[in-house]
Amino acid sequence: MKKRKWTTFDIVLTVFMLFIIVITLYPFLNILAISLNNAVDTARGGIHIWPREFTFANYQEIFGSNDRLFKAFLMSILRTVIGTIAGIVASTMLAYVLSRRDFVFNGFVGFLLVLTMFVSGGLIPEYMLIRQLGLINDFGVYIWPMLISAFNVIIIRSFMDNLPAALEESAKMDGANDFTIFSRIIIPLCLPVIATIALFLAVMQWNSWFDTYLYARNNEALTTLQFELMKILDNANVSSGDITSQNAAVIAGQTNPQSIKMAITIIATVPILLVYPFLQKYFVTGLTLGAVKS
Amino acid sequence: MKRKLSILLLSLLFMLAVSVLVACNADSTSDTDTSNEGEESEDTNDTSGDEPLTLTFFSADGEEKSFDDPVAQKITEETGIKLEIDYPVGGNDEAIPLMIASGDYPDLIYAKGDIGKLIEAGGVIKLDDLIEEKGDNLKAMYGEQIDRLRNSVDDPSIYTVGTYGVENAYWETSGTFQIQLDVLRELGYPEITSLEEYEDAITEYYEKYPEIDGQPTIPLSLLGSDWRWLITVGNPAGFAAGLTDDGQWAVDDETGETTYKFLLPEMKEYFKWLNGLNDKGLLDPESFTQTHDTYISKLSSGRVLSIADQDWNIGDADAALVSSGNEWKTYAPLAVTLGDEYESQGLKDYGFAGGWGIAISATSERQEEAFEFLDWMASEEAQILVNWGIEGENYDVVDGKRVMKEEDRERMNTDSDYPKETGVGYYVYPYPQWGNGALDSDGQPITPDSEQDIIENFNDAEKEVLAEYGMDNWIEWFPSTDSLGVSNHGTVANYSIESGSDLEIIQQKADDLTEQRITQTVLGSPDDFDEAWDSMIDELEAMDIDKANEAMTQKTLDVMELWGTK
Repeated sequence: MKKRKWTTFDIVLTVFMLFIIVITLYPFLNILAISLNNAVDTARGGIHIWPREFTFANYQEIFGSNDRLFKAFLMSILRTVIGTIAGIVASTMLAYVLSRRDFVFNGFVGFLLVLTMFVSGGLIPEYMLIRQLGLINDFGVYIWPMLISAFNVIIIRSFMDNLPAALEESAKMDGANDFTIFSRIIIPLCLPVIATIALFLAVMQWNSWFDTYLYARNNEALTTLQFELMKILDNANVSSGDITSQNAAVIAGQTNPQSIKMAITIIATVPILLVYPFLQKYFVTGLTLGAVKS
Repeated sequence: MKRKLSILLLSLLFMLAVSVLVACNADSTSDTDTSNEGEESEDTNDTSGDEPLTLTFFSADGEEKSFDDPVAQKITEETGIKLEIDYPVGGNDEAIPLMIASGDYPDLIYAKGDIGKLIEAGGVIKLDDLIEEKGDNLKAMYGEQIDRLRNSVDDPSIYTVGTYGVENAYWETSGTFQIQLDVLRELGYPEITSLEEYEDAITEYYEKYPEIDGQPTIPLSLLGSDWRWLITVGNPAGFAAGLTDDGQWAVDDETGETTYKFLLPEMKEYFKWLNGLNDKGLLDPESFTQTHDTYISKLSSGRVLSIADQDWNIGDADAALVSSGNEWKTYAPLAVTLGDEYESQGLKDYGFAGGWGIAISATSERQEEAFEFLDWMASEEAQILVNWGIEGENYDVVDGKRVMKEEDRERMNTDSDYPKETGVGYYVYPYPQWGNGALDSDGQPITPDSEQDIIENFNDAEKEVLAEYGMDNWIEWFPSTDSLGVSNHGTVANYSIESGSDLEIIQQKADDLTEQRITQTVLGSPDDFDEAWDSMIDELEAMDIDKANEAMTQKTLDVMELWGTK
């Protein structure tokens, strides 16, 4: 095989890509470095991608302050897994129905769906609705309200719209019913978009803490990782800066809100980051699957 | 035809859906109702035994903590009450509106500025009768100042008790100009009381040391890029003009006349001076653009000679300086004003501020118990417990005086978790409290804080500078609390302004304008200063600032009338 020659374009492209890598990675490395650096030293600034005074104190502060973290972590995983699967099933089913041209209420249901993107009830009506539905302090509050998002449904539907109609017709001729068509033909063809939406849903489920606070804070079993981390951050903010001492060694051992925030960011990001490589497989295979010969 | 059919079908479907939804709703309401009743009856069963009674308490300034430290246990022992503290996680401000909307009130509510909404919604009860009947401790604690708890002239009832201390001593100042100790040492400990002397001091030091540790020296750095504009730019201007801390307002404490601060000629004088400082290159050019992190890291490097900031805003920098042995780069507060005719109000006693305390909810079934608990917190016994902890464990009585144990004193000063772990000092704010200036029936201080403590905790550099000046504490530079008297109007910063009122809208517009325009004028050329300032005043007048002045004056007068201080 002949060695390829580097053209100017290749060089520009490589430099550009390296630049992109640097600017996307830098903030993350910076956060990591600050989270592993002595908090008082961080205040002096100048931490970039390498900690200056290495310490685990910030992480110790977080894990030491709360014994519910592990349970909360499991709950976060549970709601992410169930919420994502349920969300995908519901969204694709609705999207498929809406993509069918023979569905009579297509326009109306589509309109109702789009309406939710522009008009929302607001926090207080939403709270009252959730309460009336009996979802307060119930695991269902993590799943039901997030089941359908108009945005996701529209993305899936427009992807389905682009599938050749001939596929469906030929399947019908071979005797497939609607459900078979949906599960055997549409779903496999839609894997790329499903993977994308799954990622959206998973990140959203993983990151949300406000619903825990609003609807489930009185049920300790339902606490989530993000909610516990948020509380730790609050405490760090409250208790910082009220120390008066002349003892330099004592002061140097303290943490501050900025360092705690960075350590929390790392703790919250890493697990969801691990999900991405698994989904990437579907992005790639999904693309080849989508190429249909007509 | 097909279209018509679909519309018909559609409306049918819609009606069906509505009826199903209604049915569902009705079901779930009755469900929740019965479950609620079930819970309540269980609760009442609980209380009939010896079990402590649990009161739910929403505290706007609370944090994650269970009510089980030694002091909390003692409180439960004495009163039979346990608190379950809830707080707004992530600092969200929807908690009170949600409470009102859902009708789910905790027993006790510390709502801070949202108390007005709760009163309007009928979510909290009037405490007047309860105080009259069984509020002996509260009555004794507030004394004449009890009028300061009243809600408004139209509704002079008392809804809340607590928050700040009633009798306060002032041993520290914060928020004025602060100068590096090294500058004072280098210049042979000069007297600095006016802006002029202050400018001379930083200029002289700057000329001597244009660089510190290889980096350029910054004579004065401010932080005007976010809300801290008010802390480091707006407020110091008022302090330099001898105004009390009334936010954006200047109040005549005798007549109640209230004016939007930036209309005053003194403000012009101050910013003209700041503009000159900028022109001479003494003001950090990043003062209005830097982030808080950058500001702190500059301060931590020890090359900022002076600041105009609150201590709580620079705590991290202070810690970094001390821990790296740069104690001479920490700061001393200065009582500088525009001139001799102005008195620094750094040690002003604003009196009991009132208005923001703990309320009892209208739906609580234990209103009496809740009130008894609050009243007990105001008793001498309770105050000694929450401030000093438990005798024999946290403090000893030596020669009839309470003395904090050495270990506890040390931890109090060095360990930020101390109040949380032991409960000592944890249940003081926002509960009813006597204040650090109060004495118990034996004439001993009710709190372990003392001026001596603050003095002992100065770092070595601070102690040396103080000794050179022949002082014990920085406050000796400031006019004393006694000579300044107690404020008749409290502070405007605590007044609640109705949302949507003209006053609120005009002030918002005026604040936006002044923040932007003052920044521009300060950074602009001195030749344009007068013109730029005057045009800002014109614009303020064009937005009807006089109307806001009148409305604010009325508020101040109402407060003074309500408190009987006019």
